[in-house]
Amino acid sequence: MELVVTHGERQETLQLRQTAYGYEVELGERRYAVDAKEVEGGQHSLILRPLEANGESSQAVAQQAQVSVHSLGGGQFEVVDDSPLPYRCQVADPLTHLAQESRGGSGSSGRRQVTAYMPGRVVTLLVSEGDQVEEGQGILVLEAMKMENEIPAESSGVVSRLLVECGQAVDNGDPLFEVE
Amino acid sequence: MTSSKLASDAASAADQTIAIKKVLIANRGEIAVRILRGLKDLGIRGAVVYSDADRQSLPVLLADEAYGIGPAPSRDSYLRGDAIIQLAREIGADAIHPGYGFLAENAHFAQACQDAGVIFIGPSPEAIAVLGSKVESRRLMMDAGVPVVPGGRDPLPDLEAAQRAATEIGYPIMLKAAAGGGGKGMREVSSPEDLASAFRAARSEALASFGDDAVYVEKFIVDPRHIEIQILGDHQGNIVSLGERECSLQRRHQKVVEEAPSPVVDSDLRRRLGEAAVQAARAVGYTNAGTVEFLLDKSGDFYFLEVNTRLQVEHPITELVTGIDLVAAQLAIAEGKPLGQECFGVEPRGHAFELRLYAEDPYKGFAPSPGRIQRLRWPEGPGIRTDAGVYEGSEVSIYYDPMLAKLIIYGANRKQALARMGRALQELRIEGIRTTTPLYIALLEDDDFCQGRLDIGMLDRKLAAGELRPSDEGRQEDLALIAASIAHLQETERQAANPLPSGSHRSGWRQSARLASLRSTRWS
Repeated sequence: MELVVTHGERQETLQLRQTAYGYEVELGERRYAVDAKEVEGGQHSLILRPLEANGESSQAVAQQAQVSVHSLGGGQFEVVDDSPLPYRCQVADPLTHLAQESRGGSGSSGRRQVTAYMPGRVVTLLVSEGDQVEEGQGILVLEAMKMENEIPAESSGVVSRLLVECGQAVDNGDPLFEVE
Repeated sequence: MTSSKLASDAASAADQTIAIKKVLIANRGEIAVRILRGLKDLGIRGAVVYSDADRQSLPVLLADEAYGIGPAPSRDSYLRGDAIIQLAREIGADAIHPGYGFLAENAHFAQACQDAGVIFIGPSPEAIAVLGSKVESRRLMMDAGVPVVPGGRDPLPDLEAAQRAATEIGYPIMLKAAAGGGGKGMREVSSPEDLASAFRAARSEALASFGDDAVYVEKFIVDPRHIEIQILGDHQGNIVSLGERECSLQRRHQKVVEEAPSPVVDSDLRRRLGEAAVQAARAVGYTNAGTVEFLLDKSGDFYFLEVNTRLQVEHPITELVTGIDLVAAQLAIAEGKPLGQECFGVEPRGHAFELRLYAEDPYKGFAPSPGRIQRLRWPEGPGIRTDAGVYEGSEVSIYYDPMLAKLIIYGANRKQALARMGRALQELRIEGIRTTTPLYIALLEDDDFCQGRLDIGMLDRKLAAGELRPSDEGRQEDLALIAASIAHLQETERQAANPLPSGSHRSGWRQSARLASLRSTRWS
């Protein structure tokens, strides 16, 4: 299976093939034999052994990590390992990826939807649909844990849609507004 | 209230010794759990109150008895002093432990307990009242010869008076609004030639903010450390110091990381701080556990800040370096017993840190991050103690303080404690919500923190400068991309085998919870 994977600035083609022991992976220039086993609490232990270009096992050191993978929908995954911050990865098959590219989907241009990163209640709307806003400008105020938090625009543009109303309760991940 | 009156109150209680058999804990979260554990160790029954939001919380699960006290908002539940005292009487509790926060430093509540014949585990209502007032406690400490930040509370009538006062105290000084608070009307003045304009500015700012242009002058302590002394006082009149805690790592005056002993307090300074704290406590006939807070400047001079009349959040680090169980000590004192021999002449042994784990995202302006804890693994092994109020599957609600747990680390010395902290943070996993964990991992890469060069403004300065982001060292990006790809493959296969109703937008975490249940692992 061929996939296009994105993490931050990095985008690569990834070949994933099931084998007797797990998977064989080509990630850009690199090749790995991957052993993935389910462990406590639905997590996976992944052991990555680097392979030479000819498929022979290499002398390089193996990596092991116990990871949780959370699906955020739309091919987005959050991977948690021992390092301090999670990895936000986008995975798509090549056709879907092409479609996303032409829509400007995951790129920096186009429409950007902002979702609530915590449950709470919308207490104030600071702008109206159609307003021109700057990156970092407050769009609405969300109250949670007795604190009011201004939710800013992640990019400059026009507020194309406000998806919540004043007083509305929102859950973690609910869409709040779109900036185009 | 005079100090001799307070002291005689304490003395009159000296001959009463009673056995406490049941305690009602008027608190929630990790401190309710900590107190419950202390009670169990003593063979005392522990009862808790809970709000509607806390029915499934850890204290309820660990308690011998649990009683609903009202709806989620604190004022309708944990702050209902009368209802809590009434309940204590009904269930035959001998005493109420208030923990910290909520009713812990409420003199009226302590008095009401006393009036109802229920022991309040803490100091007398009179001591709480006096020490709760900044003005009264400062005056009391000056009378008792405890060093306070130099300066007068009397408003300065004119610039000449300000000049006289400033010269007497010595620069740098701080001008403060008499009616003020929250940093408004405050002006730092580093030399005499700046005083005139700063005096004018402070007065007009005070007038604009508080409708009163009165300002006073105080010594400005440059980049001080927060050093506090744990004290214990019994009803026989013994008051002891158990040594210091350094709590200089603060974010907006909120303590974040504490350690004991302080990297800069030697045994001579420790003795002098301890004596000042005991003097302060003696001035009000203090009983039970308390904390005397000081500012320590670069020259080693220290100044009284305030007394916290309760068990402190960071009490465990003192427990680790002294070997004294502070909750057990509180109970013994409340029963009227004299302080044990182990409480006298205490010197710290080893080094301890406490990391407060908050449900906040340190890289989104510390925005609160409530929600369900989907995965939780506490660190274990040598030198690790976890005081937590949550478990895997807990719902972190929006109603209370966002502190989830405290990670407490012990080592033979500071270096070993730091190494163990790193190991503990690597083992720790909290998923489903954001926490302040990455900030602590970044702190371990910070030279000032590792060398113990701390002051109360340091954390805010570093955060404002965009520092304290964890480095990319040890990142396994290839592995993460492969893990995501395998998950994508499995998701595709599952959907092909068992198409799900394609609803509108779905929350990410709910989606993953659903997928987790499809994997039929733990919760099915």
